[in-house]
Amino acid sequence: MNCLQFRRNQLAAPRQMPSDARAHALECPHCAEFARSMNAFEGKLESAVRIPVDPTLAERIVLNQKLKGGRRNRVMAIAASFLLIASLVGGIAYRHFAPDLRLLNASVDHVMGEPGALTALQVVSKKELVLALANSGGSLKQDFANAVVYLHDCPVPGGVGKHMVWVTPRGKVTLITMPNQRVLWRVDGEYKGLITALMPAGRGSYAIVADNEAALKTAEAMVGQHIAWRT
Amino acid sequence: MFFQNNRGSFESMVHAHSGDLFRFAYWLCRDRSTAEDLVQETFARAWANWKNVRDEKSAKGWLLTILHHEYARMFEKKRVEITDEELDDLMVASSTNLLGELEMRDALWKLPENFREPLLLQVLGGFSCAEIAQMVNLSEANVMQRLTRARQALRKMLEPESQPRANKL
Repeated sequence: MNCLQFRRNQLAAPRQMPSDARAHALECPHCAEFARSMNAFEGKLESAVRIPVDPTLAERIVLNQKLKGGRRNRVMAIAASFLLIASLVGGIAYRHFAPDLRLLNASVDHVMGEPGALTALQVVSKKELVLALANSGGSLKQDFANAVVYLHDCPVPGGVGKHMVWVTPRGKVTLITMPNQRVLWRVDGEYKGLITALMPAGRGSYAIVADNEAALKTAEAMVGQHIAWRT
Repeated sequence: MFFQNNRGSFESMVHAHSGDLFRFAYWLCRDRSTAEDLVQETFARAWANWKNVRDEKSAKGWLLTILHHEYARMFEKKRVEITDEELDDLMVASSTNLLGELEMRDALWKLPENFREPLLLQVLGGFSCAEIAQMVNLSEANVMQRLTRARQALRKMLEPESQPRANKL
């Protein structure tokens, strides 16, 4: 190793003195002096670089990481709680209040099981109609008994309901009240070629069954025009 | 993995290296608050990738590399506002050579950043030129050259009369 290489090494890494550098320093007093001055300089540099550090820094970093972890866990826990609550509420609502397609299908089955109802020409009085509607929390706003050609008590899901057949300008429709089957909103369906709609009534619900969309809509309009539902 | 993904080993690393990480960050940005932010962010990233740490020796280099990248990222976003902290605040009260340290710190700060950073990694981290080269993505020869120039520049600033030969290197 020559003097130039020695000094380059010293300037690049003064704390490292390979064996050939040590051998050169023993032979060259100028380079040995340079190494001593570099050693002193390096001591000053190390001392200057090592600025004091807040002794609580490490603890604060650890605490910060714990808090961040805790925050992340808390957020996850809150999200999970919301999800759980939503699931429970949804499940309960579905179990107790959600409209059930089975009611619609049961109504269609009921209609198909009583084909004679659609051909009946029963005379229904206003009083009979009022009583029938009261069974589900309905009251008559306007008499339409002359449009009712069939009215009968029938077994329905959850108890006894009223089975009615109405004559509309669009054809005959069936309306079945189910006093103990509460629904929160309207549900439409189609089953065995018939169109159905299940709607909330004053107490429980009612299903309209028709063989065409227009008749169903007309029946809906008749309900709105003639019946008031009370809970 | 030498270190399992556990908090105990992480906390040991924090206690062992946060001081030097802070010093490294400080000498990059010369602002204690920014330096602490850098160190906090470095450890946050380190914790997220703690499974990659294999041993204590590599941990320090890894942490300094993260800090180097964090600083570069911060520097890209906005130039760090230098508050020019009072150097006296950084001094150890009992130091017997306050003036010398003050001059050295001032000279260190005057170094170009590309000289200062490898020098700090060597002095604070104790890394070899090869290790520094890997950390800052430079060749080993380039790192050696920067370290040489950094020390030459410091010596020239602090001891202008005593450097006629060294400056020629």
